[in-house]
Amino acid sequence: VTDNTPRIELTNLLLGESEAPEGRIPRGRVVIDRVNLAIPCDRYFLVGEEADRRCFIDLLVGRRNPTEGRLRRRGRCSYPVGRTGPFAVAVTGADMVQFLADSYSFDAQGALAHLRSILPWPSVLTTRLDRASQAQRLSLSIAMLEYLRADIVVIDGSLLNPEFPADFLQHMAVKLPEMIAGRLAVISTRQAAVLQPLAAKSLIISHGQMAIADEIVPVSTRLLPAAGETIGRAPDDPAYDEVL
Amino acid sequence: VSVVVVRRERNASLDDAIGADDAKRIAIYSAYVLGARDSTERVALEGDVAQFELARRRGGKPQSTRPMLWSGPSDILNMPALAVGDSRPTAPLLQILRALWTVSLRTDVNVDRLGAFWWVTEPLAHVVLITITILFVHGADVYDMPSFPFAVLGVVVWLTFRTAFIAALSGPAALTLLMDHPSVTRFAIVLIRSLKGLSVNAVVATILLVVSIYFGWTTLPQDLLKVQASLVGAFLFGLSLGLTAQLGAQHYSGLRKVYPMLLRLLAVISGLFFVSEQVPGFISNFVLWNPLLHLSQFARSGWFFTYESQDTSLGYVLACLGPAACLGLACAIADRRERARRGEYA
Repeated sequence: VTDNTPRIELTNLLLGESEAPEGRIPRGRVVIDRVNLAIPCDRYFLVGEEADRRCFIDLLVGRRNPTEGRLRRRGRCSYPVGRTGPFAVAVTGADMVQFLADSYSFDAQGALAHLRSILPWPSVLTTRLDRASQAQRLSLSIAMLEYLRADIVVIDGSLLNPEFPADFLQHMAVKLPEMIAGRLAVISTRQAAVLQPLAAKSLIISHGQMAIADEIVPVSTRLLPAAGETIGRAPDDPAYDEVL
Repeated sequence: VSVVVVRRERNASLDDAIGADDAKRIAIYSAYVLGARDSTERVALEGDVAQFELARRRGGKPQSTRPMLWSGPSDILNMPALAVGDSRPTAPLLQILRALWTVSLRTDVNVDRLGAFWWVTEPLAHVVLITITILFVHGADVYDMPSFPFAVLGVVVWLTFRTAFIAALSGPAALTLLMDHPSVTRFAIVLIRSLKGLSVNAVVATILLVVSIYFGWTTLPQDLLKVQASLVGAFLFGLSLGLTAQLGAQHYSGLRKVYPMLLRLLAVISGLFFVSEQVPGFISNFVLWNPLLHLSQFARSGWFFTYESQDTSLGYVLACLGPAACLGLACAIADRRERARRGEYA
């Protein structure tokens, strides 16, 4: 491993503490409280409150800025694979492929030819993405990861959509490990049973602090509620008592 | 690459739902999901049920099993870390602007039926309206300049300013979702939307002026560079003031109602209908405080052999543009910081 490997560095990073009552983070809530942390290249399963994980992913992909301090990425970062929002723009799938090709420097025509053969719904390439179904956008979001020259791979969401046909799932099964191998991968998902085996370590966000664990922390979907917070799931959920 | 595809074995109970009526099937589904040992497994079991039900509704043979993707890390996952491909954490700005350019154009075309048609129609409508007004007020010539190309140059400088101002004021708009892509910033989107206004107006002006030349209403330009520089100056003014106005509107949203009226007032004194040399001194002393008037007169001086503006000052334009650009950039940075505090999109 050389020094020139992907890396994320958090320097005195403060995230949260919204000043506006209508902000996405409630007033006074601190997601990350002045954390200094170097995250070396590895495959991390992100563990923590769903809102905290989402905020951290937002920060990582540059969708939002830290309140104070700095997050520094060494290496090019992917878009959050699994979120369908970045693909819900009023352009066709082919236009989006062209946009990603221009952004990440790959051959759009080659990618389009290949995508037509692997996508479960190739018509998404000629359909306006804001009118396509969520499953169609998700399939494109996942399939595009194959072409990105990204050093940091971010997966956020549920990749396993029940509408996906088995052959596409198997294609993902082959390609996803390839896509994240040797890269810094941050995986945040509720489908822990599906994606957790891809990770080697855990990146834990809890009570404003962050830590790296050398093992995969057994995960339930809401593992580490902040103090005083409700779990937010139905009381008859088997996880409810277990977590409390 | 060795990837193990295994099948879930514990969901044999879903087989009971094949051929069952609705009530019984729902009961079987509930019992199946409640058999989960924790919430993680419950998500997986819910996926089984969704897959099963989807296949049933599609009329195919429901599958009570579905492939699981990974039973454990495959060998490829243990490969050593790769060196960073590019030392820059984001793509170069020019590369991103080029990528955004196409998406921005396509979005405008797709978002409603008027689409690209309106890009051309709006400047044309302005030119026609202003030309008619000029014809009424001044006749065929304005200060030795033919009315039509006179109107075209004035309108294009003004519209370039206005388009850039509004693009900066309204922010990323329909392209907001693209900010989930790490290399795409709010500033890049605003910049590309403003640049789009500049280029569309320049193209429209070129077409109209070529038509004017064809019909003999005007001649080839005296100094094309001067015309182009005026358009770029108007663009920079629009972008800078738009960024400033955007921050102002963040603090007091009522300003968004005031801006359109300010734009109209500014339009009146920006040389759409006149040049400063033809109005009384006390008026020209007042309107020459407006740098946009200087720019439109630069553009006309650059085009017409019959007109050389005596009132304009390049130094004054630069003296206004420098602080305006600094203020605009400072406001863009302040806006980014405020959004970080509020937890909004970057």
